[in-house]
Amino acid sequence: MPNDLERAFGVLVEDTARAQLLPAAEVRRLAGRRSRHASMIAALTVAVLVAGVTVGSRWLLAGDTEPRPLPPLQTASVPPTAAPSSSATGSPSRPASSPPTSVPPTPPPTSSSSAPAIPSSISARAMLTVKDGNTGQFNEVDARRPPKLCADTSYPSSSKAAVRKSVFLLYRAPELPAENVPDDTIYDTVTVYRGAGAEEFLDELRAAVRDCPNGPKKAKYRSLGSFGAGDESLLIERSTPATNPQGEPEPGQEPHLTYIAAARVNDTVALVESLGYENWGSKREPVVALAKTAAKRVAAWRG
Amino acid sequence: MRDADGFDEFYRVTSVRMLRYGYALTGDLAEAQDVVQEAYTRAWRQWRTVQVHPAPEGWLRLVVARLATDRWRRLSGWRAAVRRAGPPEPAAPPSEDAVLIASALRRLPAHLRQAVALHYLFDLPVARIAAETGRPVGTVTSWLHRGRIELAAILAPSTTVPMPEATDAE
Repeated sequence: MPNDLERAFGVLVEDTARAQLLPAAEVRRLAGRRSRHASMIAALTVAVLVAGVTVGSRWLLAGDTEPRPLPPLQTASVPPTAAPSSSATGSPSRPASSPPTSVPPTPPPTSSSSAPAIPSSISARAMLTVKDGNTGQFNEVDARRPPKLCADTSYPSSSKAAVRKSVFLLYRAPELPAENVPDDTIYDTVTVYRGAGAEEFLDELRAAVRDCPNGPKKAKYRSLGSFGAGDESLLIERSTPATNPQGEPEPGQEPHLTYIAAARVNDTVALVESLGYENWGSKREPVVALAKTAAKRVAAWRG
Repeated sequence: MRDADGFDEFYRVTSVRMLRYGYALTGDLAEAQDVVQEAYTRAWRQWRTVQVHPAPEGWLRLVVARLATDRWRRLSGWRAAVRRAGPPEPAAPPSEDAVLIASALRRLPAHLRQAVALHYLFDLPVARIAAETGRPVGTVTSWLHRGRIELAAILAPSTTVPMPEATDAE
């Protein structure tokens, strides 16, 4: 009998060759789509599954003697969790006795497909604030375009930018006294994109730093990868030759480092750019901390 | 930054196996394409988590198993709209043997179908299946035994009583 079943599954395996799968890149692209249609489908899925949970009469993969309740749903704002809970989650329920090293984690919901409608403006609560700078120097400024690393850097995703807002702040580390000069100059720009524009922008930014390691004015760009914020993020180091306070080159000195940090939350990108202060460069840690704060603000507003 | 190369490699290595698994669970190859594609899009959205997990393929199998249940299939009208962006449906018809096998699998209760598919398609030992389904080893052993018996019986209809098609979600 086992041999018969092996042959039976062999037939199934052979028959699978009739089907094609999309290229991996296409799957990734589809995953980033934020179409209205997908949102409607996700919403309907949620409604149907919530109904199933509410009725409480359905059982998934019931065991011999101990049926397992259909797991509750997961929503966009609830992170995946291995433990069954009363909150909505699309993850499989998991007995506490399951070996932790051999049990796959909770499969994810399709939370990111349910982005809210495009807003008419960016809320102030999505931005860094005067308190984040610790200097009192804070202004809303004209919306800034994405950084142009090289002359030919382009961002086709800009055509999908629906609404954008930028603020400027001077930053000083919180432990420093008020009489100290600022540590850094920071711009925080938040952009809500239509469709997959936000993901495309992150891709374009990655491509920009890859294609343009050496920019004008002897600038050098280097990708430092993700800084662990939002759905995806990218930190870029910009290195320029050191200068004195008059802006004259200072050969032999450490280069002037500044940073570009972009984090995507659903269809929105928070981009924090540091410019240093006077002839000083930026410190990486505070810039990353500010960028993480910026991403959290966006997530709280729109995630 | 998500590691696109890592995902692409994972997809290249595992996607055919996953399609076979989806086929065994759903009994329909086009439906399996949908389910598997959806599972991988979820994997990509969570790639940072999946990538570092000790059993990323097992993670994906769980998603496929979940999507293959009736609650997903009940959304077929909506899924049809999504399908426009997906891979083309299989052009060739299934072989007669494949129809027979797929039909037989669909008549197994979902948990038995999942257990035998994990065993025969992925060559997973009972302990791994138990870990993946969150069930005791003894239960899975019983599932496999019953699954083999019932599947063999369905495939040899002259020796058994006809069974109704199973409903996954109940």
